[in-house]
Amino acid sequence: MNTLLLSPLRRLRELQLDLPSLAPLRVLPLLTMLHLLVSSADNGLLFAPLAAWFALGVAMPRLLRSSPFWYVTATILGTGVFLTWESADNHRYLFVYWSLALCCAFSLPKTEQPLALAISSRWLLGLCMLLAAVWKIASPDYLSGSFFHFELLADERFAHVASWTSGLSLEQLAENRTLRESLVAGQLLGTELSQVQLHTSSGVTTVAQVLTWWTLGIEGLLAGLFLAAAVLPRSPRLVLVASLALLCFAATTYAVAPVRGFGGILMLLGLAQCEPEQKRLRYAFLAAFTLIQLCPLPLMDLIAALGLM
Amino acid sequence: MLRASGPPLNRLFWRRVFVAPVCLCAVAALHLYRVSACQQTPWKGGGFGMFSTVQSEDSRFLWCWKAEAGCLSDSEMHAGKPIAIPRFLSREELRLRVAPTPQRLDRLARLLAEHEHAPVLVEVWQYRFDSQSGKLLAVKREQAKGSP
Repeated sequence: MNTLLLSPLRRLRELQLDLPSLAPLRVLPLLTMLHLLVSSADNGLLFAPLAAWFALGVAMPRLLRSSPFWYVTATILGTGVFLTWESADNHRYLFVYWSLALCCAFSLPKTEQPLALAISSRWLLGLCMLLAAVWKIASPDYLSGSFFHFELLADERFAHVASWTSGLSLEQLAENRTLRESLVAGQLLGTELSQVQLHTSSGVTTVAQVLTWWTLGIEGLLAGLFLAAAVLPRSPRLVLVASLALLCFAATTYAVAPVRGFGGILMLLGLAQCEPEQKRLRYAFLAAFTLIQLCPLPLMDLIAALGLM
Repeated sequence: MLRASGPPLNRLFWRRVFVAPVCLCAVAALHLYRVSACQQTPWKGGGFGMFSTVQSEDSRFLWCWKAEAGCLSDSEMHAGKPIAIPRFLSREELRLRVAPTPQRLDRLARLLAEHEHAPVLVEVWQYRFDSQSGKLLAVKREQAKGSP
């Protein structure tokens, strides 16, 4: 029995050894280009110059591993953020920092490039998670659970989770969104409301508390782990734990809410900061990146579509 | 392991490594300032405050009225015609909802009055969620009047 089980495992291990090493400096420029194009497809002003610039990069592959290429990319992205700051989500800022990190890494001697990119990525991940956790701690409506309570009741992205866990029907949740709209646009509709009563249940409060503390906990943990890994760059075990925590964060967050832009860039940063011997971890980040790109629909939508709920 | 041995890394290396993280910190500091000084929502501006509060730009909304020429009191203006923000002012409207400063509110009221060729009243409202009762409660934050 053991021999039967061990044999395929051994074969799998041998196969893994034959897999290419997925060197970050080779794959990341291509994955970054792909991600930036997909994420800016809805923004014509940003997409056109980016697409033209990346076409040049594809035509001249050596350009992709040069500092000026990523400097120009960061400039295009930074200008886009500056001109549309009112609608730019936080992951657009992260795109600029990531392009800058690539620009700086490629400006160094070849032997120093992987380490420079890995340390920059750890700092970016750690700081991003730290700020996310600090804003949550500083927000009274987050700590009280009120934020996730409201999101579950009135945010379409959480509708399936809310319906699945709290007993509220999808129709009631859709009605909540209509009620919110009637409050906001009531003046034009001739119904100037000062308050509306949303459909809720005791189950929603419990789920909101779980989401509140899970999100804060994992973000705080990720901040601590990545900042420690950035300060102590010679600790592969710390990098392994931090990477596994990041993959866990991605699995629990992006399966529920489809935030493709943020999820994709976090996976690229995760891949960039792996140690060379952590080949399987790199493939795990690549797989997570691919899944996030290919599945703009949340898992709950898919389950609902398959009739499992 | 990445660079376990070899010559020590020079200052240039560390400067290049910290360019992106320093930019992140600088923008986050500016964002923090704008949240406290301009009432900017934590959701927007590069401070990574998304999913931390109900007070996003979506929770802020504008109610506008167009009045007859010469009507200047609040009650006269409220008796006027409710109007929607025209499409060409949608970016100004969004900027006002993201960071509702009095200057930005006055500017939108003026632009709207010029477009309507009549006095207008613009009110900024915000809802908050009461988790005890499950109610969304709208509260008026500010208002401004514009004349053509």
